[in-house]
Parts: sequence; structure tokens; C-alpha cells
Amino acid sequence: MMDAPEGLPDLAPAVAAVGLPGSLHAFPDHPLDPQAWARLLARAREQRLAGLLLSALDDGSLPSTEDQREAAATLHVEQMRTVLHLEAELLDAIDALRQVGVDVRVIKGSAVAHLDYPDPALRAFVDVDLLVRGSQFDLAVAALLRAGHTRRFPQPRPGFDARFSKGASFKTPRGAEIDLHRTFVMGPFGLDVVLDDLWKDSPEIFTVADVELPALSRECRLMHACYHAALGDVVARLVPQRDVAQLLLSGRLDRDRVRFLLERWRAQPVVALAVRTTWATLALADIVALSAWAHRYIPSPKAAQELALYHDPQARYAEKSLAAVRAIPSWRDRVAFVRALAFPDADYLQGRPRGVARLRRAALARSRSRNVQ
Amino acid sequence: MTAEPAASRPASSVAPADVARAEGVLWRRAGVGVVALPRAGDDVLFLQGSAAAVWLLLDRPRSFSALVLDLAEEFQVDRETVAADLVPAVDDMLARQLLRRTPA
Repeated sequence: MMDAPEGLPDLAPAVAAVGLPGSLHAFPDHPLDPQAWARLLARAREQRLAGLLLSALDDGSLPSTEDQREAAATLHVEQMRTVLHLEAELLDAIDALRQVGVDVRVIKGSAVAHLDYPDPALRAFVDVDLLVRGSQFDLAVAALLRAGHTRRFPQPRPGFDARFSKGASFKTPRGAEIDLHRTFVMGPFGLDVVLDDLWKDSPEIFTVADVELPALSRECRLMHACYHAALGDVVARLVPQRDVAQLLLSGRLDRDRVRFLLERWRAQPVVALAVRTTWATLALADIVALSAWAHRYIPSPKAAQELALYHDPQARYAEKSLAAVRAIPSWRDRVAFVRALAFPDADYLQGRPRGVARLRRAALARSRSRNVQ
Repeated sequence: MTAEPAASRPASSVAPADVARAEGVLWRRAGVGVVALPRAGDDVLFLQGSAAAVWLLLDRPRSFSALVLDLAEEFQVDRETVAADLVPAVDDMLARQLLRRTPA
């Protein structure tokens, strides 16, 4: 998140909270001066909040000039144009995957926009996210490659994707990004997610251009939103936090199912952090069961250490990957995991030799510290 | 509507058939209008004014006269003025494959 220049309050969190019940954020009762407006518009662009900004101008909660309203409307049109192009890519990708029998769930942007917001125009996004089963991951990758997409980074070794990775990223022929996920995040918390649970719940269906698309259940969408908000970026972005609030304040969650997933995935540190951060950022006064629990929850020192790794701007893929070792149940798999990352195929090494060197050093340091204990 | 002119327009013939949104159109409310992308197209179209109003009213198929009535009421304008404005807008949307005709 950008720091606010001195003397200029950052109104982006207030925009991210527009329309949420119980937010204590307030806007000035007069139109912003040109400098403050320019900063807010830049933040709305960077954080993809044009829909909510326009909503605040339309309902009068943020007074505006004609020019400001026009600028917000123009930004919104720009963000929605992107969204439509991405949904066209989404439909093509789904088509390619269905043709080879890959079971798929649409996750994040498009699914959340259609299912969890009162108007999908309030939720912008910049890529397409799909979830597939580990057992069908290689089939899905092959289908997307056949459809003309380019994989951005190869897997370290054959079979790594299907067993350990968060997923793979693709560029479509028209330049859009498609992220194919196996789990929610890399690192230890990603490997703790019991993937079968994502597929056990009935999918929730939404429609894009008359095509029915399957999303995760509402409870799994909440869990995913929490992983995204808590671990997706070094500093939490506003849209994933809005997603968390949108889902939690919907009043339509099965609380027992959420509690079950929290415990089974050992996700308490992640969800508590996401909910606490969301409540603070969006200044939410309303209390729901999960927010009350989140404010009381204290993570273990080990969990706190693992969380810190996700927020360390210096921590790279290598460190996060190595930290994931503890979440791999069998020793054989642990060896395969470390071996793949420390001694990957030549294709994987192209462009990231320093990352691999860091991993080898980290693996060595870890093994030394274990010997001392 | 901001996009290239339609290559060829059919003669004005919206009435008396009903009109409906064409299948497979991606769309969102955006700014002061609606953005729409036919599945077969590459360009996102920006519908404003009467075109956006028509799109939003067509959440189910309607007759042309019902569209005129609704818009005349919404904008407090006489029906003849609305109809004169609507015919080219609907024709253009038909030509761009945003709308389709349905049996009356």
C-alpha cells in the first residue's frame, strides 16, 4: 500500500468500505481539493476501487465536482473493459479444460464479483484464477498450452506441480494472465489446506455470458479470501480485505463448516490475521462470531514466525518453499520436495539461478541448525 | 455507443417484434453507462444514454412499444420523441449483435 503524503489523509480504505454496514469511516462533507482528489483517484486505480469510488460519489457520501465524477466514471469504464476481456479469456479457458474432462472451479475475481457483491461492477480484477485438482493438474496445463497459452515459469521437476506447487501462471495469446491453482498460497499454509475439502462441497454456480460456471462454496470462498488477504501480499491489498468483509457480513455462512475448515486446515493464524486486518482497515464496528474470535486469538510462536515469512519483503520463493517442508507429511515427499527445488531441471533454472542458490544455502543452514539441536 | 460504425445496418425494423439481449454477451454497468462485449467480438462497446437504458431494461425480452413506454415514463419525455431516438439505437445494437429479435 502506498504511504500517504504528509498532510493528505488516505481515503482509499474508506472507499474500500463503501456500502458495508458498520464501517466507521467517513468522508469530508465537501469535494476534495485537486491534490487530494488526484491522490484518491491514483489510489483507486492502484487498488482497483473505481466501482466503489463511483458508488460513493453517486450516493453523495463523498461530495464531488462534475470533473471528479467524470474522472471516476472514466476510470470505472477502463477497469470494467479489462474485466470483460478477462471474462472472455475465462470462458475460453474453461472451454479448453472441459473439453479434456478437467474439473474446474473459478476462484477469486470473477466468481466473487458475481456471487458476493450486490453488483459485479463493484469488484474489478486483473487476471483469471482457476482451481483444478492436483491429479488433473498436468492435464490442465497441457490443455492450456494446446489452446495457445504460454507458461510463464516451468515446474522445477516433472510431477512437482501436481504434488507440491501453489499452481502455474500462463499468458494467453491476447496477453492476459491466467493463474491455474492447485492450492491457495505457496509455503506452509498452502500445503496445510486439505484440498479434498474444496471439492467435497457442492460448487456454487454463477453465470457469465449465459455460460454456467462453478465456484467454490461460500465457506471455501471465505477461507480463500482470508488466505489472499493475509498472505497474498507483503502489505495486504484493499480488495481482498473487502472480499473478506463482504463474505463475513453477508450473514449467509455456515458457521459450523467454517469452524471445521479452520481447524482441519490449521488455518487459525491466517484467518485471524485476515479478519483482524480487515476489521482495522475498514474500521468495522459490527461484531460477528468470527471477528470476536479473531481478536482474541493469539498464534503460537511458530505460526507467528511462519506468518512473518509471508510479510518479509526480503523473503523469496526459496525461503517460503523451504518453510513449507514442515507441512509435508511423509519423509519421502519431503526429500522429493527439497530435491526438486535444490536441484531443478535446466529449464527451471533459466532466469532464476540466484533463487536456487539461496534455496540451497537455506537448506544447508536448516540442516545445520537441526544437527545442533 | 462508442465503437466503429456497424458495417451494415438492417433497415429499421424493430417494431413490432420483441427484442432481447443476444446470447453470450459479457457486460457490466460502467461509469454512466454499460460496457458490453459480444462473445464473438474483440472490442468492448460502451453504451450510453438510450442504448444503456435499453440494455438495462432488457433483463427479459420486451416489445419495442413496451420499451418506449418505460423510457418515456422514466425520462418524462413524450413517446414519439423516445421512439424516434430508440429506433436507430436498437437497430445499431441489433447490428452489433448485442440484441436479437424474438417472436412478438
